[in-house]
Amino acid sequence: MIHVDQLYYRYPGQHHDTLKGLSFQVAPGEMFGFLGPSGSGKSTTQKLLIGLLHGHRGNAQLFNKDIAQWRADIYRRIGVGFELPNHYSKLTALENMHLFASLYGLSKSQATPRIQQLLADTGLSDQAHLRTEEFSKGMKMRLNFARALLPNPDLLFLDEPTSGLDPVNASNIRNMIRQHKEQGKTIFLTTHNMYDADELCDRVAFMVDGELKKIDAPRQMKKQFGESTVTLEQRNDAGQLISADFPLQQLADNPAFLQQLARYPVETLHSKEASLEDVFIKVTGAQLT
Amino acid sequence: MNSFALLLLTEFKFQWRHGFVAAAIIVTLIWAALLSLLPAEQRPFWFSIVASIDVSAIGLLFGYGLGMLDGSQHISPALRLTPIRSIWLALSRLIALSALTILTLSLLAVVIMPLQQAFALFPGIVLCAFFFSSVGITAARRLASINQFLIFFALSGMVWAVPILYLAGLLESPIWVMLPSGGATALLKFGVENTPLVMGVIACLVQLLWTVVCVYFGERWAAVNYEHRFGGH
Ligand SMILES: Nc1ncnc2c1ncn2[C@@H]1O[C@H](COP(=O)(O)OP(=O)(O)OP(=O)(O)O)[C@@H](O)[C@H]1O
Ligand SMILES: [Mg+2]
Repeated sequence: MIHVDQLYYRYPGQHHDTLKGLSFQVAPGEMFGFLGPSGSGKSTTQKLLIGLLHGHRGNAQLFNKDIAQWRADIYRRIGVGFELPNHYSKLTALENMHLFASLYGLSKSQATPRIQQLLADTGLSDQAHLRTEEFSKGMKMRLNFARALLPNPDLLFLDEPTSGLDPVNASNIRNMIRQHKEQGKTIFLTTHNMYDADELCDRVAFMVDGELKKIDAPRQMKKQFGESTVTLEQRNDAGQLISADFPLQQLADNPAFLQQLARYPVETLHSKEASLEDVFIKVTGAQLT
Repeated sequence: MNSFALLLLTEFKFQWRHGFVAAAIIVTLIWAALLSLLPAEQRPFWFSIVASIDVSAIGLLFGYGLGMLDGSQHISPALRLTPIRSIWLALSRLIALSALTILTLSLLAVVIMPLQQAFALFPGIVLCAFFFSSVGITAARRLASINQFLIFFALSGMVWAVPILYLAGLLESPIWVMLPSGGATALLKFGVENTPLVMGVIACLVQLLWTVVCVYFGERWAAVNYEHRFGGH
């Protein structure tokens, strides 16, 4: 679906490459996460792949065809959710959606039920007749997302789809992304939200400073690099709460743990899974935010 | 409704809701009040002067203003990622903006002079409206900052002024018809006077040519200045 080989990109007028030789592939039906700290080049990669930037070096293919050979008809097959809201502010949500549906070539009879469904799914039905200038940031982002799904794209690009959303709406959006994937569609998700990446993606790529450091399934990465721990909290003789971490592995044979356990009464005992964020820091040596 | 019709409707809504229509109506009402103070036989002449100035100002300022609004709402990248070609976007804006000026000025003409005289001025109004709208829209694509636009507005004023001087009878030679806005301005003049038809046809053709040139360069510049997309613009 996406084949990228030794992709380099330098913004005009800059003295160094923003993308430094990326190579990765995304299979049909896969949800692929692009993860990295701010400024690492995630949006730049996405913009190249959707045609908003040009002048790359190296190889990039969509649907098995070099991106340089694609014509505007590709935009019927890809949907793009932008990082920032962009709507006609004096048009209502419904008017915005109908205009874009028509530009994607949907007839009115196809567009109307689809738009209603998308607005309902994103929780915007009640605000459909409001002008988008009256929308909050989160509402605009949800409309961005709804518009990206409008052409029912085979390949969906999402740039930070849950940024600025409250937990309920973020979870709604995640569900919609999952549903879209269940139809066999491919999704390229750009984010610095570890939780989204871990929850949703089949594989994630760690990007730091324009380079891909690691590509693998989140589970696999956590298994390989993450270390599950147990946190023991106790109250000592002075009544103070003390806490210590121990590796989960071979806990029962860990003399330090057993010794500590016997010393004071136990207040709490938690096991903690390694998070993708821990893995990221371990693998790349960089912080995520 | 096909997508071009919906684009056109969107353009009308865009202009209406951003207050462009209201502004055009207010300006027209002011002109109507002023022109109605003149004796009836002088009105067509003064109308032609007013029309040539009014259309150039509205076309340039509104055309540019609409482009700036697009920019501030970041609509262009979203539109670029649909299969529609940018020429249709430009044409929808050109038609909608021209329609606004044609409508308001035709109304003004009909209100202050007999129908037959108003009718004679109609071709000049239409061509003037299309040309200046295309210049304003093109300027928005080419000139990224308001400073650049203001300098362009001031300097280009000389080019637009010469045909108006010809229209006012201060310049004699019909050679000024060849200037970018010369044809349409001359048509306004011919609408007031009794001019041989052949002159009118020449003015018409010259003006159409300039309008096409302007739209063409607008598209070329869009391709260079606007960000890229697959398959060109
Ligand atoms: N138009 C531009 N011209 C020059 N440099 C740019 C431009 N856009 C982005 N950059 C630079 O390219 C680098 C990567 O930016 P990009 O937007 O791809 O980062 P990102 O990973 O998406 O970050 P974020 O998580 O903040 O969205 C940054 O150093 C940025 O300064
Ligand atoms: Mg980004």
